[in-house]
Amino acid sequence: MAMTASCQLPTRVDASCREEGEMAARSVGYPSIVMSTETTPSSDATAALDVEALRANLRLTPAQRIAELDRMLRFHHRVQVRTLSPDLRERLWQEEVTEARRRMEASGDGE
Amino acid sequence: MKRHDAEQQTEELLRALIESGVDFVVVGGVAAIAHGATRSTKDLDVVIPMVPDNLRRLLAALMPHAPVHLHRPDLGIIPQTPEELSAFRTLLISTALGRIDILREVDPIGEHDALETIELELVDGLACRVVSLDQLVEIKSHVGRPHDLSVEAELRKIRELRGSD
Repeated sequence: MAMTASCQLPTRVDASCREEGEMAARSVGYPSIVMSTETTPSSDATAALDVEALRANLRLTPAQRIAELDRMLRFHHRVQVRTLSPDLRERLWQEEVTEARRRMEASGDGE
Repeated sequence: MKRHDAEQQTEELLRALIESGVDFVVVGGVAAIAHGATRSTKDLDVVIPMVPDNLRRLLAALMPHAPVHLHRPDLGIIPQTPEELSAFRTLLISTALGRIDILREVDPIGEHDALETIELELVDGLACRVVSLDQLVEIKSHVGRPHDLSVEAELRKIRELRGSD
């Protein structure tokens, strides 16, 4: 399957959170890339393309690609549940809610 | 169950929308994946006509899955009527099937009617409308965050690869 494992934790989580997650992932034998928070710098976006992965992905149907996305997210979720402390998961969730609130306010729907 | 304990089930969210007759267009990361991108996404973004009839169908689709406002889970199951929801520009919803973001419009294209779409089978046996590859490139470029720019680069390459087929 060609879809790359770039499920990402919120990018504003501090370094200690990332290290905790990555160490926890390694400790149970999961690939650390699943826990990666790295993003590709915009200036390098084109250079970082994996064309072979894209070609392989294009051989799948759209429904197969969506099914693969769900499988990846399910794996990501289960890794988080097994490896991250409840406190850390709560912090990650709060980051997501904060980002959602920011988007709501930016769209003019803020309270 | 806390909302963040829900696994994202994109297929099931799409199935619920389609089977309830919601008028929607898939945009964002799921649209990118539908077109062939490899970058993951954590939620489903759709643009819909924010009119009461359509919002009524949307609520019917989501209500079995306990929808709450992502940023106001304290309100409980979405309490507003379709008429009240039609005043919103964005609805960020957390459900037992995961996150779904409902958008009135998407920059820089505009509202539902301004979107160019293609029909793709994203769930086995069920087709839905997805924003065109060209407009999705424009959207990702406009958003401009690092992740979006890397998706944009993939989408441009996909367009090139398809052109050379």
